[in-house]
Amino acid sequence: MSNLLLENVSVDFPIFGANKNLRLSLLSGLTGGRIIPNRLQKQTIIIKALENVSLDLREGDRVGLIGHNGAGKSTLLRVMAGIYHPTSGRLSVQGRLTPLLDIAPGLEPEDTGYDNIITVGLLLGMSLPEITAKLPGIVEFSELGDFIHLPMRTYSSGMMARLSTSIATSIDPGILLLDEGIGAADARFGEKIARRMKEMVERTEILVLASHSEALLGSMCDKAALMHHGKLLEFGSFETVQKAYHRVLQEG
Amino acid sequence: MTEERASAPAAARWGAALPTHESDANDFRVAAWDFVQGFRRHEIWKRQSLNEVRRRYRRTMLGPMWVTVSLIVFAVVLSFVWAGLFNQNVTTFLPFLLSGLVPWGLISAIIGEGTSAFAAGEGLMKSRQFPYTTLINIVIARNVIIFLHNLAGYVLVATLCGVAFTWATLLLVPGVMLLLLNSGWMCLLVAIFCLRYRDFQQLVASLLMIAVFVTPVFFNASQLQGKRTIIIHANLLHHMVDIVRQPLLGNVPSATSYVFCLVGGIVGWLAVFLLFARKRSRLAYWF
Repeated sequence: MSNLLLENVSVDFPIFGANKNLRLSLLSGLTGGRIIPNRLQKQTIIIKALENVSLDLREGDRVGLIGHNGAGKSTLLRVMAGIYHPTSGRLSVQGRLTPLLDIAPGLEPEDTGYDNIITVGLLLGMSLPEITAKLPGIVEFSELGDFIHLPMRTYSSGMMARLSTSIATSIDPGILLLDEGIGAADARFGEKIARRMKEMVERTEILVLASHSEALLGSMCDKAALMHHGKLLEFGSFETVQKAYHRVLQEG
Repeated sequence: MTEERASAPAAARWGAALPTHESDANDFRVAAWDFVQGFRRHEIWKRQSLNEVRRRYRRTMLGPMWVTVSLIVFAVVLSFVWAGLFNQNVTTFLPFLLSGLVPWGLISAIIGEGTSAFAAGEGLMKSRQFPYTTLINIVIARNVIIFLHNLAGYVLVATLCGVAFTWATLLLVPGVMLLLLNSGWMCLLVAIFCLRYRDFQQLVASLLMIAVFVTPVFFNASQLQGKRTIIIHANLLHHMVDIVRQPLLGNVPSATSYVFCLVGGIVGWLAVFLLFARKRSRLAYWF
């Protein structure tokens, strides 16, 4: 059984190399989390990106992360992914975790599309036999044809997006952490991607999706979590949280 | 099939559930997991290092032999002048020089590229959790590939110069292993420091440049007399070069060099492991 548990998780970011002016301007106009001058080390400032976030996600949960820019959505995803270790609090993950925050880490323009599928697949945590088994499917879905044997630098940006999304959506994710902005491909391919995304989401045990688009969240999630200045304001059914989000938008 | 499930028996020990996904897991266990998985997932570092070498020399005629060719040309030209300075034959000075430059090239490239091993891995390190030592393994493997090219070049030059390969030449194998053992911890050490303190990248680069002249690479250790010999005998880098250089010249390296490299390797790794275990969870915050 998959489970994703956060208990009172806080995350502080040290900002290195911020000069005094930048520090002052950061302190005056906050957009993100809360900024706290670090008393011990005057030269670094600390951004409180997450404060006491507690969440308990179970198998079958489809959770949308909602909130304005800098509210802590991406940071929260990265904490769940084990990238940022909580400054305080506790994270516990049971099950196989697949973060798709950056759609294809490690794409190399000099390598062929074919080589890149293997490299990225390995980096996404697939094994070599697993990739080999999925390769024909990925190639076919990307509609790249013989271009798959050419270096990626010869691809158009649409072709590149098609390849990276084809790889990313081929995995069996377990717990899937998804940051928005997937599939900047052409319109026809966009539909195809949407369908394939849906299929992938159906294979997931837990989905956490961060996005600004309420339509996207509404179509994929039944629950939602509202982030505001690094705090979790509300967690519950998508409709309730959506209302709370609108309230926050009006107030703020 | 996931990577974890694919390797079921050992995974039971080191983590179908990654210990890092329990945020209060013991630091040392996580670091040990990182080392074991970083090494075991050899598909990644083998592939990445080979690809990087290929990529760098793509569309060149000589490929990675470019490093070797330029190294040999450099050594030949230098030997013609310096053999005169040191009153030696070119045919003895050239193999001597090259037998030092080849291991030195390996050491300095591993340390030098270690400065950016983590710092250049931002895209990966901020997109997922994985064994960070993979990035170190890639640096080492890539430079071993280049080293092997240089080694082939050395054998060619040495044969032409009439260097007698003996049984002692076989000591090359443990020599290279010990060299890598020590370069490995140095690589991880500079990778950690250079991520946190970006000044270290510049600092390490200039220290390496000084080290190549202080360490007996261009000159023979026995040419130095008196008190100054301390900079040779206490210099771990010298011993790392010498346990590879002596076999290349058909000689047996000194026992002192083996002791230095063994002790240096063990103590170095212990210290760097402690540092890595304590700071691993902070690395992603340092970009």
